[in-house]
Amino acid sequence: MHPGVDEALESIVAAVEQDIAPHVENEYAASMCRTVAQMLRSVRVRVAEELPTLVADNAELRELLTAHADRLADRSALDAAVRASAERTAPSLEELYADAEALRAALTTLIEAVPDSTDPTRKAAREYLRHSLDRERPWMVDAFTGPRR
Amino acid sequence: MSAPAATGTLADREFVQGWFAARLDRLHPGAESVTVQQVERISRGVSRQTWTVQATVDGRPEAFIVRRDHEAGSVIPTALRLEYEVYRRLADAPVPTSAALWFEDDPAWMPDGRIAYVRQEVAGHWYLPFIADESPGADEQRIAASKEHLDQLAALHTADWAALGFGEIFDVPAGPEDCARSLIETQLKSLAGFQFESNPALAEGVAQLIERAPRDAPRISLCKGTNGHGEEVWRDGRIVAMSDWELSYLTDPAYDFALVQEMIPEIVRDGRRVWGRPEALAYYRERSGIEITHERIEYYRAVYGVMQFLYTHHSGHLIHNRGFRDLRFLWTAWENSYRSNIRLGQEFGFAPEGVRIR
Repeated sequence: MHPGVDEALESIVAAVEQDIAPHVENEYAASMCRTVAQMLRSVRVRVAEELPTLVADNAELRELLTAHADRLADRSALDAAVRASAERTAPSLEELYADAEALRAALTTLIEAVPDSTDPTRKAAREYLRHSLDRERPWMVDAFTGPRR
Repeated sequence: MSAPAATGTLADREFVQGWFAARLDRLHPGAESVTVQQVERISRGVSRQTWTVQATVDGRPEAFIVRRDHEAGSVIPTALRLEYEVYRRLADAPVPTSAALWFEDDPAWMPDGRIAYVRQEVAGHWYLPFIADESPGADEQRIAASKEHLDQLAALHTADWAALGFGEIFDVPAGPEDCARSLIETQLKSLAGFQFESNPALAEGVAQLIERAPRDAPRISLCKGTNGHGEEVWRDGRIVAMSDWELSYLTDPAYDFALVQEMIPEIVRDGRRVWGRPEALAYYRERSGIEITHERIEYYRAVYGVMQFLYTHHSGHLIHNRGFRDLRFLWTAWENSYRSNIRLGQEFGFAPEGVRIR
């Protein structure tokens, strides 16, 4: 079990930043060292948190889409996406990706079907988007510690 | 001169020597000799690769720029050829640019087997050391630089884009009132060619942009796109080359004011406004006769959020659909994609608390 992903990635970052980068004279290669280290920090957090994050995200989307589905003339794709996602008991990451894609496609269709931005459906869509972006913050914002290039 | 049997690499000075010697007439009509001294990749800028070539042509030192896509392609979803065609048409425009010399699509000379184009490098620097200096002593210099930049925008925006041939390479709005909607449609048309997953944040942004598209643009202008500090070449207080035309379009001139970088500083001394957006717009109006409203500037700032989404998504497309493995593309599709969604959130009312990007 150990060392695990955390220990491995931390060690790789340390090697890049402490053992390799200080000896790199080429400007472009030095810049790539910075990108490597920062991306690994982000990957480390994503590996740990993505699965429960997607479970929560897909659940919120199912609720939103179900509540506003009657705004669509043809709701069959929306209903199919919600049903497929809801039926899973212990989804793999790949299955969560597939569900997220179908659910987000359904939300896109819903947004495009309601042109008035003050409509409650659109307001609900924006609230979901706010929560969704906030869920990704740990690996997309918090994980980075310095220049990326 | 006969071409080599196989192409060489851009990092190989000997290959570039042979390549430039074979294109001697493009470097300068009538030139008799070229000696390539140094070839170096510039790390600044990630959308495409930029290389500098230091050489002597008939004994005189000269510098050239080689532009090409990364091995994986380009971050931005437009063709390298279009970038070249923009520079070529700018040769007769009333603004300074670097001369496009040739587009290399002869397999015998394409460096690393990839298309490339060459343009002249204009001596100068993108960096203005005083531009962020907020002390009173820098005011005069900052305002002079701002006016110089506005002069160039005024010249560009009043140029006869049809006569220069830009109608042949860019979408042309049906009329000034159609500028905003046309720009959005151009983005969506481009996106349709590579979109690989739905993005409701983009859908929300586009829906709002269509809903509130301004119809009061006074004219269709050739616009530069990203402009200002970091995007132009300066020498002795003057712009000697307007550079980076990747987001150039025929649209409302307010678009360029939405994308200007650092060149309109807000300066207030002893409670009195000395310079800033209102003063700059008044100065620009005197030079161009074009009215720019704050509302239209803010609108096009929001449009830029869609453009940012496009290039981050295009990077993702190259990795996800094309199988290219390039770290800079990955980073663009990863962190910058999230940042473009945050920007959309800021513009269209769904940014989470505590996360802001400029």
